[in-house]
Formats: sequence, structure tokens, C-alpha cells
Amino acid sequence: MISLQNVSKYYPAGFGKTYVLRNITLDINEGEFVSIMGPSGSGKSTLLHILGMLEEPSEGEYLFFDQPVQKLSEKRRTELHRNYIGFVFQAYHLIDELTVYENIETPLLYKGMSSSERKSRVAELLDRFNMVAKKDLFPSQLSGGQQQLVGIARAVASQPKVIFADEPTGNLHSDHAKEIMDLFKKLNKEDGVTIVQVTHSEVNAEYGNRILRLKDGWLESFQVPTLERE
Amino acid sequence: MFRNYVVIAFRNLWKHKLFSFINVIGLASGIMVCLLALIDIKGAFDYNNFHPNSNRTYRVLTDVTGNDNQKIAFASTPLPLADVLKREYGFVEKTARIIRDYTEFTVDQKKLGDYYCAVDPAFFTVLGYKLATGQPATAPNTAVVTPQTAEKFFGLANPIGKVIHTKEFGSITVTGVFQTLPIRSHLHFGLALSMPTLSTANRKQQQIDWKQYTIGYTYVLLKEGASVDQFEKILPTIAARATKAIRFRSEKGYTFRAQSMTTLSPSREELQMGTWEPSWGKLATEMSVGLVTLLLAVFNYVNLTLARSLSRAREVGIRKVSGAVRWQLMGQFMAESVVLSVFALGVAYVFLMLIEPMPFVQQWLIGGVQLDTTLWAVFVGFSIVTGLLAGFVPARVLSGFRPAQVLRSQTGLKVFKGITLRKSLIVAQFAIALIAMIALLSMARQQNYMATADYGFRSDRILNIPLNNVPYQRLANELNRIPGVEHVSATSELFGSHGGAYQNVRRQKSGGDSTAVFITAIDQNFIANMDLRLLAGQNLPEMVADTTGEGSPGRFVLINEEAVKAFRMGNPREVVGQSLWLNDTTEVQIAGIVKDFRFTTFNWTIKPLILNYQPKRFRFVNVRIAERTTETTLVGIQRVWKSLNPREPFAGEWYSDFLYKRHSHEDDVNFMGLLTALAFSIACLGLLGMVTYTTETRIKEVGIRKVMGAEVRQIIWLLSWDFVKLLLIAGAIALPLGYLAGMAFLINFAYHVSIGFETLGGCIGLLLGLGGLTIGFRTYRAALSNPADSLRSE
Repeated sequence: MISLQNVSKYYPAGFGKTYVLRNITLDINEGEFVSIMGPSGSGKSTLLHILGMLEEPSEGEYLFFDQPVQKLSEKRRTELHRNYIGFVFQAYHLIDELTVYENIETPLLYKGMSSSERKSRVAELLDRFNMVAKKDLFPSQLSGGQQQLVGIARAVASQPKVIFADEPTGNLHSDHAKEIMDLFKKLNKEDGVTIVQVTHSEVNAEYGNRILRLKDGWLESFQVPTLERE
Repeated sequence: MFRNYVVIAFRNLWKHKLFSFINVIGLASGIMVCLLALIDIKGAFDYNNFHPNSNRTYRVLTDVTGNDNQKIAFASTPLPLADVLKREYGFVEKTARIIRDYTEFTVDQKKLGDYYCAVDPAFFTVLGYKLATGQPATAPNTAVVTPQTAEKFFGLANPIGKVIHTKEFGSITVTGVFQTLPIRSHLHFGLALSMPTLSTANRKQQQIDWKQYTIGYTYVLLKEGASVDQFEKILPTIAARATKAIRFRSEKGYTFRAQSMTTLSPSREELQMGTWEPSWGKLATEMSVGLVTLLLAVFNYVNLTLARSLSRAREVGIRKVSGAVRWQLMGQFMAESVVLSVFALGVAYVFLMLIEPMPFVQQWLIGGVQLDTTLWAVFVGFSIVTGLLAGFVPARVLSGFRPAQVLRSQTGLKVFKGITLRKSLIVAQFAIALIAMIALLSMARQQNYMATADYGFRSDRILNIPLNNVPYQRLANELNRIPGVEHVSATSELFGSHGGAYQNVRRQKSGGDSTAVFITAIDQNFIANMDLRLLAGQNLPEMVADTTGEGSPGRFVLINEEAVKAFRMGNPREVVGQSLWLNDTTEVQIAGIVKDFRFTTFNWTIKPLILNYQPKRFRFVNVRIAERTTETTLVGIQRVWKSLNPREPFAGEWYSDFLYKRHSHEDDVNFMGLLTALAFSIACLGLLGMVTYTTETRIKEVGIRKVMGAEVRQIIWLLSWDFVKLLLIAGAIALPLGYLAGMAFLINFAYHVSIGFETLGGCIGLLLGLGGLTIGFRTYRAALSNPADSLRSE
């Protein structure tokens, strides 16, 4: 479903350019759970942003469901965000002025869903994530782990085909982190959602079935799909 | 979606209370001034509403072409026009002529001046001035009075059947009373006399004279279904026919055109002999003052919203990755500004109620206007549009954030957008406030100067008493007997006002140049009483008045230095004894020269003046009272007044009080002061908000600097300098402009205050003082903060 061909990203710096990503060629199939690893500044987040169509590559070609992303109009790209892509962030990035319920509802609003549809969808998610009791609380009243749960619920609300997660457990204790990773695993397994995560932690990376290692903008190696599937 | 916008808007406003407070107060002030203007505009349309058939009622205007080919429009018409229209044109149902004038009416020996309209019978049906009781005035020497005039003339007694007297028309019987006239009416009058009452030869001549087009007004009611085009077409024809036989002197001719009652107010053009309808120009000025005030508040909104953009940037990023497109985000931000603005409308209405009793507001702006649903709809619509406009710029900027930039996990993200814009807006706000302040202060100082300056004649301890038909000599004799009264004199005019009567005076009986000269009647005590100085010659000789107090005018006159110059008479000593001709038959001899003093307002330089003895023209006595005995003397004077004229209340007034009231227009200054204060507080609130947000974002820097040994003083300076710089720039822009604005007002006065260091320095001092306090208040608190708190890692 995702295919990068010789994708590079650079920024102008002085008279030359600073490369963040170099010649990335990569395919991700539907249903995969991919972990991107690498030291700070290796271009992990930039790669994720390109995959999530938040940034555009400087060179190369990106096909999303066989459509060339570079040629899509702004409107079409927004359509993809609404219906195919979900995001989870390290800093949760919930809207402080909205309750848990309203935060989860936000992507559905932009999707143009009817009020009753939205209600049942959000109720279902709250139920599934065990957050019914907290639906009227504001983000500042929740713990980090709970906030990230809301973040994930928001990401899956519009039933995306793929979720991009940027260090989803970076700000969490290991107990909470495990909870969140299990949840991703479950989403991948049971709902068939493709997941691409950026992580620092080998442990968390192991949840995926493939690990991509980045160093100085180069894609180092492929981790052969492991056999430790349960 | 919409509900969601509004909910978020409310939560945001609630969360940032300082921000909301500043914006609501600012916008409310601006909206309030706009409401005043909107109400006045609505009122301007009320002028046409109460007339019964205003859609087929027209006033005929006269377009006069002068010898220089300049066209001048008059609201008035020659009087015979009405008759021609009614007699010769079938589609004219009724015509009504109106002649406006002012005269003195005598009621029970009281003399009361009032405005009257002489009207045709159709006046009572064509125009909407309804009668409360009685009959319309149609027979000769009848009148209908307004309730106010009825009360002024007859007290609480039933006015119908009562008789009033005038010099010109004799006795007039009251046949009816109007309902209280609408305040919003293009005609203001106390009485409507029947047209045949104007029966003197002169008045009768006017009624058939096609040459005079400034005497009266012609209103025409067309028959139902009559064609307006036809009416408009015949008017020039009539004018052409009428002017054929006339030889004009100072104009080439005139033509007529129709002005519909529905478009009479607000007036689109300047009409000579105009009536009381407001002009578009006045309304536009009011509205632009309102819009400028509102603009200042909108600047605050733009400024503060952009300053907070950092906290909103993340939200924009999240919403965008959730699938929001730009217009949806703009919609959300603009919904916020609209909610704020509608809320401000509510507060503005409260403000409006607070300033409603101000005399300026009643008299010039909103007096007599009903707030109906249409007006409220306009108010709400206006505030929504304001909100949309105020929200537009911030919404564009905020919705333009790119999610990849604002959602990166790294801290230390700096999103400062539109810094130049924000700085310019602050400078503009303070510059506008400062210009207004300088102009207003110049105006107030000039008025105070005129109210208290030395006019060259004595004004303290002089009590002016209007004579009101009390024989002057008797009153003077009685007053002189009261202990504490030092001098008593008489005059026809109070100096320091418009200067009174003037006429052309010649040095030779016929031929030679004539010079316009003010002529004031005084008695021989006046010079000494008012501390005027004679430069040459003598005072007026003592005249023996007869018992009625009406002696014959004296042969001798005094003139001022300016008159000597105007008549080119040379050395003052040689002037004494020369003669002047007041008209073809009256020759007077110059007895003495008076040192120049300012006898008019300061609008004019000193003009030529003749003082002569004309007891018939005396209207005031000037009583000079000894320093110590004021209280008891006043009681004595009032007793004398009561014994001579028991009907009228004592109306004496200190000369200095008269000058003060005449020249210090406190109501106007108060209202304009209010506007300036609003502008200034909006600017200061905006500055407060900006300083607050800026220091908040720099609190960590403050912590680091303190740890490294910076003193509180240095930190305050560090945080304040950027803003002080803005104030200084605003001052540099506003001082010259304010100076020009003030001079534009002062140039109207021959004698005026100068805009010097005290005005400019005072204004900029106030600006820096208030601005500095605003800045210092926040930066001082920031500088005192404990670095341990701000540097604690997240």
C-alpha cells in the first residue's frame, strides 16, 4: 500500500543542502506493523511525516495505494487524512479545551458524519478503551497513559487503514508503555490496521513484525520479518 | 460542527480571562460609539416618517445660477409658486407654504421671543404635525401653539382663545394646541400662524414676488397615482415662465426641482435656507469616529490573538491532521471573534445606558429615537460583521500553520507570526489616541482662555441685569440707592459675544467709502464702570433722560482706535470733533477715542466700534458691586427688581459667569474627552495584553539571567525597552500631526492659545506615564519571579 522510490529530503543550508533522508526505497504492505528506529537526528520523524503526508519529499516518488502522492491536490490529500490515516504523537497533542469525548469526536466532525453516527461511534470507542467514566474530563485531568489512550482512540475513530505513531510511549512509564503497545498490537491483529511507529526502545520495536533502522538519513537494513508471531 | 465552534469559543474565552476582558471592554467601547452613530442615522430617517403621505409629498427646491455661473441650491422657493401649481395642474392635490421667522410676542405684558411658522391651511393635513386640541389656524390672526410654547406663554391655563400680541401683526388668537412635536422633525417652531396673519404691505408684496426665493418653503401633495415625472417636468417650465419677466441683479436666474419627503433627511446636498434635517456629512463624520474607535479595539484583538498564536498553533496542527481544511479552521477562529463581539455588544449597550444622560449625547446624537427591532437587528448584524472582520486576519495567520512544524515533539518551538504587524498596530493605536488628546487639549485650553481671558474691560464684580422693559432710568436710580452698588451703567449689548449690531458708516454725507462698524448703545457711566480708557477727547456728555427713560439719541459718539484706523483719520487728537454719517440724515460728532478692547469673541480681531447714547436700544444694566458687601447687596438688588417688575424672575448674571458660559462648551469637551479616554484606555489595555504575553514567553530567559546575576532593574529594562520604543515612535508620529490637528482648530480664532511645550509635553508625558505604568506593572512582576520556578524542568 505504501511505496517509496529513492525518496530524499534536504533543507537548504548556506550554499549547499543538508540531507535529512537519502535515497529511501521502501515498501509497506497492508496489515504490517513496522517499527522505525535510529539515533536522534537520523531522520525518523521526517520519514514518518513524509509517510503521513505532512511533509513533501524533496526528491523521489511516493505511492499511497498506487496513487502518486506528489501529484495529489491539497483537497485530495485532506480526503486521505480523513479516511485513511491516523496519527498518534509522543506528546499526545490533545486539544486542551475539549473533553475526552469531544477530542475523539473531532476527526468524525471533519469527516462530515451525522450527529447520531458520531455518537454511537464515540460511545463504542469509549467502551472499547474503558474510558466511559472519563468522557467528560479535560486532558489536564488525565494521567499521561490515559491521555495517550485518548490519542489512540482519536486516531482510530475514523477507521483508518494506517496509523502513524511518533514515539507513542516516549513520555510514559514502562507499565503504561506496555499497555499502549499491547493495544497497538491488538489493533494490528484484530482490526487489520497497518501501523508504522517510530521508537527508541528495542523492546517496543519488537512489537512490530519488521524493523527499519535509519542512520544519518540512510536506511541501513531490513529486519527480515520475524517468526515470533503468536 | 457549528455548535462545536461555539462551545470551543466559550471555553477559550473563559480560560483566557485577561485576554477576553481586554477585548470585550475594548470592542464594547468601540461598538458603543458606533451604536450612537447608528442610532443617529436611524433618527435621520425618522424625520420623514411621521408625515401622512410622505411618498407623494414633495418640497420644491430652487436652483439659483449666480453671475459667476455657480449653482446654489435653496430649500426655499418664491411664494407665488404654490398658487400656480395648485391652480394650473390637475395632479396637484394640495400645496402648503411655510414662512419661518422669529419674533417677540407679548403675553400679559411679558415679552417672549419664539420661532414661528406662517402656514397655509393645507400645512395641517400635508405635514404630520397633529393637533392635540382645538382647530387649525386658518382665519387671519389665529395661531396654533406647541405645548411647550403654551406653557411658556400661559402657564397651566388653557391656551385656546387666549390672545397674544406682536408689533408686526397685532393681536393673534390661539385656536389650537399641537401634540408635542417630534424631536426628529425638519421644522422646529413654537407657533404656527395662519398665512393671512402676515398682512403688512411688505409681506403681501413678498407673496406675489417671483424675484424673492428665500422667504418661504413650498410643499406639494400630489394626487394619488399622479406621475412624479410629469411633476418634475413642469417645474423648470414654470421657472422659465416666471423668470422671463424678471431682471436679476446678482444672479442669472433660477429653476425649480422636486425633493421627495422620503429623501429629505438625511440631506444629500447642502441647501441654503436649509431646515433642521441632518446631513449625510454629519452622519458620516459620526460613523467614522465610531469606526476609528472600533478599529483601535480590533487592533487589540488582532494583536493579542496573534500573540497567543503559539498556544493555538498545536491545536491547528491537530485539527489539520484530523482532516480539517483551512476554511473550517478559519470558520472556527472567526466564530470565536464573533462570539466575543456579540458579547461586547451587550456590554456596549450597558455603556450606552451609562452615557445616555450626557447633554451632548441627548442633543446631538440619540435624542428622541426609539430603539425598535430593525435597529436591534442592525446592531446585532453590525457586531457580527465586526467580529468577522476582527477575526479575519488572525484566522488567516493561525489557519496557515503547517502541522509538520508545529507537531514536532521537540520543545522550544518558536512560532512568532506578524511581529511587525503587531508593533505597527500598537504604534497606530497610541498615535491616534495621542493626536486626539493634543487636539482636544488645544480645544479645551482655547475655550478656557476665551472664558477667562482679559478682554480689556472689567468683568468681575459686574452684575448684568436684562432690562426686560423696565424703564432704565428708574431701575438705575433705585439701584444707586442700595449700599454696596458702586456704579450703574446701561448698554445694548454684552461684550465678549457676537458683537451686536453693525452698519455701514461714512465720513461724508454722500459718496466716499463706507466702513462696516459695530454700533453699541451705552450711557455716560459705562466707560468708567467697565474700566475702559479714553485715549483722547472726552466721555459722552451727560444726558438728562426723561421719566420714561427714553431720551433722544445723542449727537456725540465714542469710537475705538480700530475705527480711527478704518476711517484713516490719522492722529487720535485730530480725530476728536470730526463728524461721521450713520446714514444719509444722521450726523454725529466724535467726542473721544476709546482704547481698543475685545468686544467680540476671539474669533475676530478687534473691529471698528462706535459707542453712542441711544436709550431706546438699552437692553442691560451693568451694576458694579463693592468688594465686601456682595451678599446683602444682591438681596437689595433683587428686592428692587421685584418692586419694579413683579412678573418676571430676576435674571441678573455676573459678567464673568456670562463669559464663562458663553465660551466654555463643557458638554462638548466632556463628550470628546470621553472618546479620547476610551481610545487611550483601549490602547493601554492592548499594551497590557501584549506585555503580559511577551513576558510570559520570556519568563525562562528572565530566570536564566537572574541566576547569572542580573538585577531587577536590568531585567525590567530588558523587558520594557521594546515597548517603550514603540511608545516613543508613536509620540514622534503623533506630536507633529496632533500639532497640525490642534492648529486646524485654533486657526479659526484671531486670538488663540499656542500649542507649546505645556500641551505637547503634557500629552506625551501622560502617554509615557500611563504606558510606562502599564508596561512596568507587568515587567516588574516578571522580574521579581523566582528563577527556581521558571527553570524547573518540565
